[in-house]
Amino acid sequence: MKKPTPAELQQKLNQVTSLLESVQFEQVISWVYAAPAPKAKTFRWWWKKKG
Amino acid sequence: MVSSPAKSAFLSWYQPYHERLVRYCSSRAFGVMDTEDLVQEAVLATLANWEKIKDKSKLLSYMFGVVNNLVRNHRRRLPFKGNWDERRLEALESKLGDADTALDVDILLKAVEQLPNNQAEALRLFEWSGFSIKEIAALQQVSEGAVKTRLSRARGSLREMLSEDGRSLSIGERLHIYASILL
Repeated sequence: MKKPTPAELQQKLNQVTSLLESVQFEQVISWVYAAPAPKAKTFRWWWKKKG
Repeated sequence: MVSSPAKSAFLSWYQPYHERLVRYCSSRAFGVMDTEDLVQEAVLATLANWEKIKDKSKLLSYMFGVVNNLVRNHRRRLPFKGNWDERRLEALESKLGDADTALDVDILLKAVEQLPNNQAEALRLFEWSGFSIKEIAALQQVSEGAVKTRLSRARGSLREMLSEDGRSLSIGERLHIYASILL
């Protein structure tokens, strides 16, 4: 293997970029809405922490 | 389904970063796990802790941490590293349709993994996810000059690692590269 030039290295990096997969934002919206609601901090939690 | 205010808030904070985060996930997940699974796990883990993230402007940094942890945990659970290496090469071959190019890219990915963490992350964020130097500086909490240095050192190290006659190439690195050629 010969030492790659900066241009060859850049070409290899670009090759990897072209392989990357995508996920649509709409997909994320559906996951978020299907997930249980995130729990908010409660007074009880605060009180326990205060000791 | 009725959306809670927290979910809507999360989505509005997350949306501008979605595409670049997915690209980062894809670069980390390649050959290790499914990109979609990684994005989903990262989103749901962040959502579950949404109330704990006090400074929402740090959401992106938080999510990168989550993604890195998920990939590390997943790889730790894999029984044999060798199987994972083979799986990635097979995935590359099927995507590229050319064994030589696949091997070339595989060696590059292995070389990136050998870089120090902060350099590898800067390279992934800049080259593959499309973040600017300014954004990476904010993400890594260093100056823009430091990011440029990391990128420059990363590229320099890659050139050394990808060469057979590199003077600074250690025996371990050479063995790693030769082993990958023999795969």
